[in-house]
Amino acid sequence: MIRTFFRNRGAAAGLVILLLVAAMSALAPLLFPFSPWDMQGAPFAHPGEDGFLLGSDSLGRDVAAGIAHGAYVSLLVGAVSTVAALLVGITLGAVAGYAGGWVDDAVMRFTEFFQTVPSFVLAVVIVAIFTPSLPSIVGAIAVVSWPPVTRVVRAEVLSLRSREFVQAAEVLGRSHASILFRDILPNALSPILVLASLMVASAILLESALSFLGLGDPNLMSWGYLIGAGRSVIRLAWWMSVFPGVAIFLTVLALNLVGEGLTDALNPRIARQR
Amino acid sequence: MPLLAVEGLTVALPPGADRAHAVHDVSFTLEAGEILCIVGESGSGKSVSASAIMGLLPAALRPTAGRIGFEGADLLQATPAAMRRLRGARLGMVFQEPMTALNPLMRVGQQLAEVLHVHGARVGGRPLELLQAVHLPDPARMLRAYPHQLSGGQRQRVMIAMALALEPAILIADEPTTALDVTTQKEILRLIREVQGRRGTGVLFITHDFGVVAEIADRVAVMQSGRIVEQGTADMVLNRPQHPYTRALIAAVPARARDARPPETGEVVLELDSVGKTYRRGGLLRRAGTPAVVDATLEVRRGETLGLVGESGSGKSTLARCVVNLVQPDAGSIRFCGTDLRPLSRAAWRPYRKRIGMVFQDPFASLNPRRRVGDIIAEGPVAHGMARPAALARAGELLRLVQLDPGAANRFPHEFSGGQRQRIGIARALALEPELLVADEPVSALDVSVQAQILALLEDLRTRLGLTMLFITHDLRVAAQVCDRVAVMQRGRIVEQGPTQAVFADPQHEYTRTLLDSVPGRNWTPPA
Repeated sequence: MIRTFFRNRGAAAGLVILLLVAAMSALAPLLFPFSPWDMQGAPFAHPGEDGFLLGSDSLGRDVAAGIAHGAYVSLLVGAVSTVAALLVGITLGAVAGYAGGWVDDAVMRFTEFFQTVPSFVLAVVIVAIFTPSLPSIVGAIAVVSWPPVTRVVRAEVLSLRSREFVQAAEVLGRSHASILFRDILPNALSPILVLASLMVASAILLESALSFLGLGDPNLMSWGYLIGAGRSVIRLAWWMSVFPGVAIFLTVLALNLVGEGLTDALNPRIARQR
Repeated sequence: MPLLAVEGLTVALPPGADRAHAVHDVSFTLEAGEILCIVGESGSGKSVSASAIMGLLPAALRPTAGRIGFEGADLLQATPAAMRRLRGARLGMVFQEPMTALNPLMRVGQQLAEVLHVHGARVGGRPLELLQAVHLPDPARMLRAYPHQLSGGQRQRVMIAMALALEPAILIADEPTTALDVTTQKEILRLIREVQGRRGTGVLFITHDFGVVAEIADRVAVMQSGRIVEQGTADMVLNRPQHPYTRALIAAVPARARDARPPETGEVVLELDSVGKTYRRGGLLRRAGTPAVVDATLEVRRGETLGLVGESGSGKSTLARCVVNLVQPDAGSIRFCGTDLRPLSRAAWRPYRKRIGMVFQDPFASLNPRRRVGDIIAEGPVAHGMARPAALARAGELLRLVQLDPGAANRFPHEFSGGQRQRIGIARALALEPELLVADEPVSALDVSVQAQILALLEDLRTRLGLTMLFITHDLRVAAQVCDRVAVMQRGRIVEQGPTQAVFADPQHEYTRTLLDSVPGRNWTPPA
């Protein structure tokens, strides 16, 4: 299984990028042994100038230090909110698809209720009510990102339910839980994984957007905050927004590649063919 | 000079396939007014040969040698534009799946007119004449119908009308009746014979069914792994086959009725009493649905095999699913060894799950692709409380019982062929040592030779383990071979039941007579 994963070059490259980003985040206190909020030199220094690898911002803070320290918040928000959204989404979707009938109707109306509200506006409202902090941001992102998971999982479960191998399990007298966890969900894994890798990406972007609006945790540096802070001077100092943007782009791309590689590696048919 | 002469045709498969050539050095001729049947099992290259003639080979397959002579030209060398002019006008084709071969958004009349139009023929009243020629009822109304409003047989008639619209010299029919019921198949075969005789068309008929061959062929070519192994007149190939492969295929045709056994007098294992099931449409206004099973009454005694036969939509599968509670019947009672199973809850059903096993139709859909074969077989016993190691050891024994290597337990289902997968499905059903085995079309997705092996395996297991079987099939030849008694179903009702030989020798009901009369090749007795 691991071999199949690494035979997919894109997936291996994605994993390398992710590991580099994680290492950068973990080594930030060693690479930049100062607070990213502290002034380190002249403002608006070009990349490479004045000892600033990626330039400095309008207050003379180091952009490179901001990216290294901010990786922690961006990755944490992406991972935790995705896990939370997956837990809620898979549970509801599996129950709705498997039980059918009025349970299905109830769960799906509830899901649609969340989908009709524009998700970004809902996230803004939740963060504003609970005051901007890491837990409230993670919570808000999870709340707005579970409905698509529920829909995908329900559709998969619904179609797998009527497959002959599920009927065969039923005839053998297996329990609902065993059928759901051994026969149905493993076969629904591919779309869930692809969706999850996209969700981590969109969570990072959502956190950026919240920070951009000034709704980030005021005590924590994040990529979104950096882009937001650079926005007003983008024609004067392009590096302030471009480098954090590149960091987000690479991370999101890496996650998608890894997600695709995992899907292949977990499918016995593809894993054995290559 | 023959109408069509295929000489030394060789088509290469892409590298990495299980053999180098899809077809290898294939030569045959087709005369005007003749029906040549190409027979073979799946993967034998019979459809590839037809596609090569039509110039419809997939891009991955390219002809590497040979020539296809037709009207003085070599079709393999023809330009795409030249092939387009020939297709439809000089070479007509009928496909297997009448459901997908017609455009669902165009009326039948428009589609017929289109064929004439693209080849620059005058349309006029031709579509109507064509529909009359293929004996569609009320052709004027049919012209305005959409494909979904027609039955499978009617659609195949429209396809034949389209293929014949420009009076082609050659008609290629690729398994045109495989997706149809026997009674419809019989009509379509008769129609092809008739139009072919009327216009002197040369017909290249591709099929896997020797019954159909016996029904329609003038000459026969038998294909195996991309080569023609035997070719000759229908009489020669069917009654005096020379090549061992042809002999094996013909021997596999289920034709010999089983020896009559004394009727079972043991206890009644399964007793259905006026079982009914109606599928209702959802929605607020619960409209009356279509009844799938009406008033089904039958009993199965210990040790006997009861066949449930009928065409698609007759309700035989629904009735079988009622027995295992995959479908909840809404009337009647289902008594198993004296207990009525219908009112039982899911929990109360559990002990009976051990005693009633089921084998499914589709060997590809009925095994979870993500689990190893050993786990698949062991899951039944594990669900009923057997320890996992013991269940896995038992799975190994069961694999041996169904004549597979016990090492198969560590592999995934996709690594097996259709017949092997069906053996795995049987092993899974037997793992709980059921008293009653419900087999829902267990051989209809398999090639004849594999079908014969699976039937032999089931027969062997039945005698060795003393199984009682409810065997669902649409194929009367299979039923004759396997079942002690048969129940014939039509539109949800059991119209006739009795000992197999009595029913087949002297059918009482009109529908049973029609069915028996439609069995392809009924006048041909394979040589022993």
